[in-house]
Amino acid sequence: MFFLAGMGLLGLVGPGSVLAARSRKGGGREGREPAKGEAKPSWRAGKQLVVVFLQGGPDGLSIAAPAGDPLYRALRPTIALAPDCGGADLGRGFVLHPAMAALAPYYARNKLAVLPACGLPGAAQSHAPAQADFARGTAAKAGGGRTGWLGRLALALGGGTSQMLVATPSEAYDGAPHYNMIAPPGRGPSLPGLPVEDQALYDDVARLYAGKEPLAKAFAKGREDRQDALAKVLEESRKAVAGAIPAPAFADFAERFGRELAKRRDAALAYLAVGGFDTHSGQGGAKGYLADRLQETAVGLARLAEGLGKALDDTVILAVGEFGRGVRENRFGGTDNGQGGVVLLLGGPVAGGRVCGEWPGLAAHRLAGGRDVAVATDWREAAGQIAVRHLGLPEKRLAEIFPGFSPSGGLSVLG
Amino acid sequence: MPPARIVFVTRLVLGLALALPVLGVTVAGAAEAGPAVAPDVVQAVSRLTYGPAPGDLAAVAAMGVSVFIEGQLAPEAIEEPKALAEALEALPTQSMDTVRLFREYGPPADAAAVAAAGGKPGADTMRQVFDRAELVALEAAKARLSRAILSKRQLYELMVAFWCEHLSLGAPKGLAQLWQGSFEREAVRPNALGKFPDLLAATARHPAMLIARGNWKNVVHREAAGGKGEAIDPAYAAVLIHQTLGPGGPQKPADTLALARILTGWRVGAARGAADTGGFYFDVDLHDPSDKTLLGHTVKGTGLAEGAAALDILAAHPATARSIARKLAVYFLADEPPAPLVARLAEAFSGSGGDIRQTLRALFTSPEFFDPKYRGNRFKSPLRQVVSAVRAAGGGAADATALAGVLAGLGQPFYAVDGPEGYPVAAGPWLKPDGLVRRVSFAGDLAAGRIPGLGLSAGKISRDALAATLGPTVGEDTLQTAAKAPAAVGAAVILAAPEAMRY
Repeated sequence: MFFLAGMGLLGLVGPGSVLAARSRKGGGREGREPAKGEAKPSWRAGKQLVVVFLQGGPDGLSIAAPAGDPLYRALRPTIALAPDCGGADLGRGFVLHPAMAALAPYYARNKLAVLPACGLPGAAQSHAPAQADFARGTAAKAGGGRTGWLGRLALALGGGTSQMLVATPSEAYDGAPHYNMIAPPGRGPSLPGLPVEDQALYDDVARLYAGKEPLAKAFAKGREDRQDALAKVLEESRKAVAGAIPAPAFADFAERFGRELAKRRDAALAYLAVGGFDTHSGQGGAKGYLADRLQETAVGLARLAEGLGKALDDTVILAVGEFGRGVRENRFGGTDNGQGGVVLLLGGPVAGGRVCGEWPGLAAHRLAGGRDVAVATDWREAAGQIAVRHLGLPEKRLAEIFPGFSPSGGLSVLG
Repeated sequence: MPPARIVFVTRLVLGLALALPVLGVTVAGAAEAGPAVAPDVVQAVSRLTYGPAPGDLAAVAAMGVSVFIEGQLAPEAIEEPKALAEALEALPTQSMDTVRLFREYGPPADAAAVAAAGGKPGADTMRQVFDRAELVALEAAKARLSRAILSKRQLYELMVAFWCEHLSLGAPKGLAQLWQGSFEREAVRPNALGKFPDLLAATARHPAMLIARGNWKNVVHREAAGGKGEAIDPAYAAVLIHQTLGPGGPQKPADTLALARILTGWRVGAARGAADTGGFYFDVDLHDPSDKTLLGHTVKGTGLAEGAAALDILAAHPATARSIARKLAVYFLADEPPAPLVARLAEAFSGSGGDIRQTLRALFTSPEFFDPKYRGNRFKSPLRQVVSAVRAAGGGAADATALAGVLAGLGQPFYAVDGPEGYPVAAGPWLKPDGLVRRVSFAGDLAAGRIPGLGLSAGKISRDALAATLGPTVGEDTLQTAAKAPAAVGAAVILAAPEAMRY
């Protein structure tokens, strides 16, 4: 509750809520370009896109698990979800993580679409550059602008008229003419570790491997290397969560954010980031670290939808990470940074209740680099479609939002 | 409630008391000295099995070591548990022969027709074929693991693993993945304790081998003038010579080339219909009919019979006897086996026409086999460590999918290593820092019930039962550490201890 007293409560009840509201009329890096005589962007009043950035690379194979595929269980001996784990059946062989049950009713009512093997082709594979790629809306190696794709979209949708509501800092909305920030609640980052009993086992066993014989020496070396590697990935995870709302705090905040969005129908765009998905270790399966984060995320998304209330009929929530995770369980019972992940689309305009797009599968020759889910669907297909068909962006201006990207048109996510 | 340690000791004594009538030792002595299983029993069980399952040590002590060894050398007479039959029945591809596997899982008929007409099936079609082949290969791995864990014919299963590696298919190549299981079932299993020449002949003709080692490409086009139609591919010939004569044999490059010519025209014929048997097909038009010289023997140009003659020459060569004898001694005894023993085994091998059973009998009845200096001297391969832990814990394998994945994580996935002889048989190369800590993690995962499909849920493995099953191989330090640890960790400590890594 402390944050309410501190800042948040004020922020949510009126104009005073806005801790940071900036106008970049003429002063931004990009500036506001005149409409060049073309058709004025027909921003549709009341239509919204909310981007929930799942920061840290959430594991698509846990969110929508190909639980019936024996290769999935072979690749992930201790963290795979069983077909009978209790998660909602999504069809096409996928099961929703049981901890995400809060979203199952939306799927059943066709308001939630699941896009597996989704990502940004060519994105970097470490967090900071991949997050920058996401923010630019194009892979760095593909060139592209310095501003963020949401910033460019806000500009293209009508400049000062449209507002953007954000809760966390991001380069994704750099270049936006105007945005309001609602301070998110502050809570420490949530990081996975190893299961407690594993630490106990290593401590006990270390005593038995004491001595000078080759076996003892090998164990000592192996354990030292392991601890170094673990410390390193945990440090990386700590960095990967920078700026995002820790998942445990998301559920509490989300409903307020939704209610605020419902009031501000002039805000065409909204952005917030949720963190804690960089599960290099101690990931767990149906229960465990990631299950807890997914539960908080699902409850948060559901509360965001509840907060929007009737406005959800005109709102699309796009939940996307900077990448997915590798298909193989690693030596710490976690997964390493990967490529294709799962994107979720939630809201009234979504043609949901289905798993959309290609699923390349997990056979060795199908994996990207022999280790990752290949990117079969570009998330910009979905985002672009929402921008054009839902928000009213003229189709020819899509290239401004996503430089170098041309939609294939093979995906349809809106009703 | 008494402290955990007391409960533990009490149960252990109780377990011993039950086993004692067959062991024929006094209760008082046993309670003081720990489980009193004779060292020869421990040695025989640890070498002729993947490791003791509950009750194994007591049962072998009861029947006597020599009866146990003779029994394992005659596996046909050993009845298999029902659980194993059930686990195998759940794997549909395990009952399919090579030809049927190709018909049901290979390229669809229309794609095959395209290929037969000289075209190439679509990329998508072939991708789907390889997807399915990977699942078939996974079933083969699951079957092997289920047998390793559950079979009572443990020596036989160890020998199946031995030959599958020694006559390795190498890293997955082409559609050979589809046939890894049928290679094991049709070529290796029927001959694993039989005659080496039969084993060699069966593996050499198997489509999996022909594709994996590229011999199907080894052809001459006899109509072509001036030898221009030659496409001699000596890859398999080189592997075959390595697998028989060994790396230090008397072979010369000319022998490899001669052998390659002898094996020309050996093709895969699964799609050719009624005439094929197991998918092997000899195409006389693609065979080099000239006479060849192999290791000093003249092989007359007689077509398919040349191959049989060549394999006999290889199998009967003294270098082959030495090489196989040594490798068996390494597998069952020590990384550096005593030379006189190897010489006697080679003699047994040669004298019996390559009878594998006779050779093993000579090994298991040798004084060296029970020499105290070879007890607990070997570091387990990942396969042996994983299987021994599951067996000790009393696990089954209703679905060994996850376990197959564990094995891959530990660096020993089935049918995945390149090189002529598969994974190392000597134990030393497996002793690596990273591999060792991963094994400790595996022990923790197993004991905590995190590996599904084995019927081992969290808390099901008791450290007392483990200690009783493993007998005197578990050291006093380990027992004490396990007794002091929280219950959830105690069993894991025994499975992760240094003793559990050796045998």
